[in-house]
Amino acid sequence: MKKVCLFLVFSLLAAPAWAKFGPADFERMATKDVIPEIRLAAAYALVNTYAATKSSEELLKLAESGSPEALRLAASLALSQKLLDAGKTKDELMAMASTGATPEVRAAAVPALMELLVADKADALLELAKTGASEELQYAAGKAYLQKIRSKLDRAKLEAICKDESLPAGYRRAAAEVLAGYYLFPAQTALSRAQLEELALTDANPYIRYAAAYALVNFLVEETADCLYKKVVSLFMAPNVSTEYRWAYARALGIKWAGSL
Amino acid sequence: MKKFGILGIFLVLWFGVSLAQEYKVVPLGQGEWKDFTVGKYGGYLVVGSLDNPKTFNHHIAQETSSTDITGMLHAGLTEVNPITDMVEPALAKSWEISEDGLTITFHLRQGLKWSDGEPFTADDVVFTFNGVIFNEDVRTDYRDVLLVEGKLPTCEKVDDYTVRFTLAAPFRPFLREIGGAIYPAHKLQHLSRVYNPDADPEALNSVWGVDTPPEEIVGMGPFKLKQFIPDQLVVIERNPYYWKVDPQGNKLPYLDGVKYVIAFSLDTIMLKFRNGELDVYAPRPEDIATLKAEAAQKGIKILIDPTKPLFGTTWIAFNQDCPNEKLREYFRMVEFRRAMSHLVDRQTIINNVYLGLGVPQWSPVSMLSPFYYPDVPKYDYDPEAAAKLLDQIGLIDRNGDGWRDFPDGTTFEFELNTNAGNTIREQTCQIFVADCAKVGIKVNFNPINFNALVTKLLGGQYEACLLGLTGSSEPHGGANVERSCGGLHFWKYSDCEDPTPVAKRIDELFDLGVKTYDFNEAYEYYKEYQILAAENLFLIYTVNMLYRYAYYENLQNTAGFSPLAGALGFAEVLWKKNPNMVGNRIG
Repeated sequence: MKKVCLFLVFSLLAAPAWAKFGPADFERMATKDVIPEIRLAAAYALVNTYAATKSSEELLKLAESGSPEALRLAASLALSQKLLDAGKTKDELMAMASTGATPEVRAAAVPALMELLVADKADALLELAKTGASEELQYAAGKAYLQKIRSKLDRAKLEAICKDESLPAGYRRAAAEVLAGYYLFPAQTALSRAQLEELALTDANPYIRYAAAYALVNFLVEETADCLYKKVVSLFMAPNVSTEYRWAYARALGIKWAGSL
Repeated sequence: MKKFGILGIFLVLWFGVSLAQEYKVVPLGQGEWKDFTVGKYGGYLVVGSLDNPKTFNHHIAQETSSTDITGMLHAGLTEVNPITDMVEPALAKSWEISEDGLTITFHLRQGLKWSDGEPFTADDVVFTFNGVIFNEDVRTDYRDVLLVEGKLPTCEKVDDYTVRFTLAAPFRPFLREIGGAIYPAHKLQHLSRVYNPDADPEALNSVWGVDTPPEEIVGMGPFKLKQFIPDQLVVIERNPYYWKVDPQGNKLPYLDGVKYVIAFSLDTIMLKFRNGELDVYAPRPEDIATLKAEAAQKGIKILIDPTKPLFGTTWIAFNQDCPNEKLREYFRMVEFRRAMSHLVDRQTIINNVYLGLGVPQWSPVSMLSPFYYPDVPKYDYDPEAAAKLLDQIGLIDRNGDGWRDFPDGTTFEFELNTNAGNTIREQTCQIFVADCAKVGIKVNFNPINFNALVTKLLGGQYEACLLGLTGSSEPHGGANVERSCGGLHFWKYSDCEDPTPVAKRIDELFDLGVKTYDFNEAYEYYKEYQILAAENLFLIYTVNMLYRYAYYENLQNTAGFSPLAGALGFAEVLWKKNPNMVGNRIG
């Protein structure tokens, strides 16, 4: 613990010169940093590099058995890009999203699967979102369903899905990500950054917190990587900070780092 | 010496060739192009398309799935600046107009080549008009827009780089309309019966079909066809002989080409954009929230510019010839129409109906038109001012029931129609009806079937309606509405028989506006027309929807995206920070 605290003090005093960081540096951070959110941010930074430099087979293997979790996430997101061009059938992608070995493998199938699912009827998609065999399949179907009916959506309907505990996690997560847009648009009813921070920190419902955090990222990317890094480090030891709030800062930091590569 | 001599000859030849090529410089970083930068070469722009192209023959193509592609393969004598919407030289470097406005002589750029390397000359222009456009064998709509007083112009070659058109009457829009695609005589002349009596009359309609080998399709546009895979993909690539350069002398376009990914549903196209498989996407209002949520995580930019509303108008019309004589009397009073304009709460409509994606509209001419005059009189939302005007014209509540009455004591009320099912229009009407009620005006809102509404409108059988008209940057496009005998002069068809002084003046202004080639003079005519229209409120304009566009931030020189030219109108100057990326993915 003492070692961790010293590390934190050091980290807060002097953020590294990110501009000089390369993929190997971020890979090291994704693997070894003591702060989970820094590992997460580094994973986000690595996605395009992985997509450009690793084969689908390598990525699949990494998404299956990479360690720690952050490396599996980077591999999963990179693999999801490759699967968009891979010509996989709907059945193949459904199988991958349902029975892939890890959540990261299953998640990799989602973007390509959504494009095929969206041709299905809304009723069928809603049913799949509610009863899909895995959280990732529920999420893919949920996203496709919500895309299909987007002209009928509003903030209240999406918040109701997020709060409905009878609905499965994947569908509620999909609804939360769409809800984030309604926290930002239209301008007349959009929430401010402060309101989003508050919601992401304190709302009782984890999906509402996630929606707010998802929207919040759009404000956080306006900050420098240094500021975001220091905030992520400071949040590590802070009490009563929601997972979703920490995620928002880590995600924004990952975006800044990815842009520096 | 020998070596030097050869080099000297080479330099002289190279310099001579360079001088002979009269390229057009796109002044990136200057003037209206000030927000654009000199780019770097490489990469493909990837866009979605809802259908296969039906043909690669530009003059025959009717559908955007074809014309979005063929428009990139060809160029015309003139072109419209995608930022200012002003007519500019293109394949013609200049032109002269005779004093009587009937003869226009175009001087062509010299030293240009077709995409197959053959030289471009006046013969190509004369062939295009005499052999293709004016040829009755060819089923092209382009012929219609060149008719002046029912007659086509004549086109003749003066010399290898000069062509002359003669019109039946002066017609200012001619310079804009003459910018259609020029076709290569060396590839197609033998198919025209004007040049070859033995040619098949259908040959020019069927040429350049979708099964044509790409190298056979030759143009002067920034790109040339590379590949078409039905149901999947069309690829166009840089034309190495294109005749435009940037200020540093780099040949345009910067992109290696454009890929049109064919998907048959907007849902799929939007998902492909969200997944980073497309670089650009034109979102509908209901798409914006989804894209806003993902914008930072995916590097998406969403353009919603309040200075860039769509073409077209939405308005409330009061039928000044309506069958109800008592209503007619008031509808003909400008004070009544001004009171009604004071009851249109445009800002609330923008906020609640258009989700913020709108601007108040005051003029019949689009904000993006070079003829737009912004300072017309505006009768904005002001219920108190409306009430005063209604009092002044004697519409007061005579029996204390809360509704204003005619002088005979009966309630003043009218029916307001719009087309049922158009939720934006229905909601706009509901807001207007509620505001009318606040000042005691009883409006009976009745949305009806679109075709029934059009029948009522054209038959002069309605009382009031909220509807829209399409538009363009050319005010003359509204002549059929604004002229007193226009087929869509639906607010007062009786103007045709018995025009008011204002209607007569608007007729004159429309005549004067097309008979001068002087933009400033034409602008003054259309400015007066806009002031008259706004003062008299024949149509009470409401709100204009904003243009919306989404693209990945890797794409550069996007500053001009607008309804004038969309995104593809800038394809020759677009470039990618990372040419290997499509959307936010490494391709």
